[in-house]
Amino acid sequence: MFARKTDDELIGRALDGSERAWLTLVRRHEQRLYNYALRMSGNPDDAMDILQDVLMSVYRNLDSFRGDSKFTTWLFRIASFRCTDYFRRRNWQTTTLGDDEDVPDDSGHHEPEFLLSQVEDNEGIVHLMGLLPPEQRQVVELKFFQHFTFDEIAGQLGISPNTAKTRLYTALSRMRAKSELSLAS
Amino acid sequence: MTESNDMNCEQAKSLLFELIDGSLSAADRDAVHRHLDDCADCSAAQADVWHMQTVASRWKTSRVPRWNRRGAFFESRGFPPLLQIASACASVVVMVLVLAQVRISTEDGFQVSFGGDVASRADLEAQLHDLRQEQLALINQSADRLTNQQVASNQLMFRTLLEASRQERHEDLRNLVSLVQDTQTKQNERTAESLRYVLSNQIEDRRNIQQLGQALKLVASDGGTL
Ligand SMILES: [Zn+2]
Repeated sequence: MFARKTDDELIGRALDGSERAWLTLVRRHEQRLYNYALRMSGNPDDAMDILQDVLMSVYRNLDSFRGDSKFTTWLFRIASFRCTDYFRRRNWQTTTLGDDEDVPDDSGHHEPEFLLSQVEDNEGIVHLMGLLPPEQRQVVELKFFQHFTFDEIAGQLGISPNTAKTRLYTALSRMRAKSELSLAS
Repeated sequence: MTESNDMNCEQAKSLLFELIDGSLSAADRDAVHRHLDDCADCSAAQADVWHMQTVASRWKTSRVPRWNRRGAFFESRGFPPLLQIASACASVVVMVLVLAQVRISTEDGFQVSFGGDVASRADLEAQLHDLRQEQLALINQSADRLTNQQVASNQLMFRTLLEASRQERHEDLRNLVSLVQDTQTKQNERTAESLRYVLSNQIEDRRNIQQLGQALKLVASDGGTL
């Protein structure tokens, strides 16, 4: 019976204390969120961690959802916050271990003939996303995989729509440069 | 954006997605095309968008691994929280030691002069503040360690637990500060010293809680000095 309710209806029920309503909402969105986290983090364990972290944060802040935007827009705004936090912690850990954080940790898997148009599976896509610094990765993710408008992305990341656009095109040319560079070598 | 012949790069790039998904008006479409004919940079960007859209469409949705949703959101409150119990025990030990103003000597020669005036209270508070920061950092570290060890679906529960433990400790430290302020007369120096010893040990290793428990028994039996 909950399956046919809208997100807003489920949120209302959840705020009234319905556990089932909240769990229905979780089941409805977790797959999209998990795949987002997979592409952002690059591995299933971290993706699961991010998924749970985001959902817990959403659950705690449910009463601040105003309903003036779509639930998914708001959901991915929180996901972006939590992801930024995830990368911050990860960088901090790398630094404390004494590693050079500018060196991408996947450089060892880099195929010499890697080319954008040859990316065909999830592994290739994760690798491609891994070429980008986190803030560019987020824009690419929100635009190409979540299909948000530049205005929505700007709101989610707390930047201007123009910055979002610039960041996206910088990311794309970076990916192109990286792949062409490795093709030439 | 109408039939202007000289659309600039920014305008062109902002319409690339609409161009590709076919939602532009005929006039805008022609204007973007005219710009793309003359601008290698924007044509490259258009190709990038198109390629990336193709790549993105190849993503095969991964299934979410099994996880205990209900447990993560609703049942963690009823879980016997080992850390909370340990934390509460430690707090009791600290309280008793402070109340009894037990003297615990250390070899690292820690010295503060507390005359019971305002400055010394500030000093103690500063120390407590530092300890608190240290403790928060350590709690965060152990949370991260737990995360890395991927304790399956229990991670979230542990985070919640640690959060609760952290808040509880905040409360304890606040109580301790006021307690120490209230008993600030002759014994302040010794109180501060033992407080520091106990807190730093508690921070360094939670297993010391057990040792503190034993220390407490000793205190109870021979009444004052360790
Ligand atoms: Zn141009």
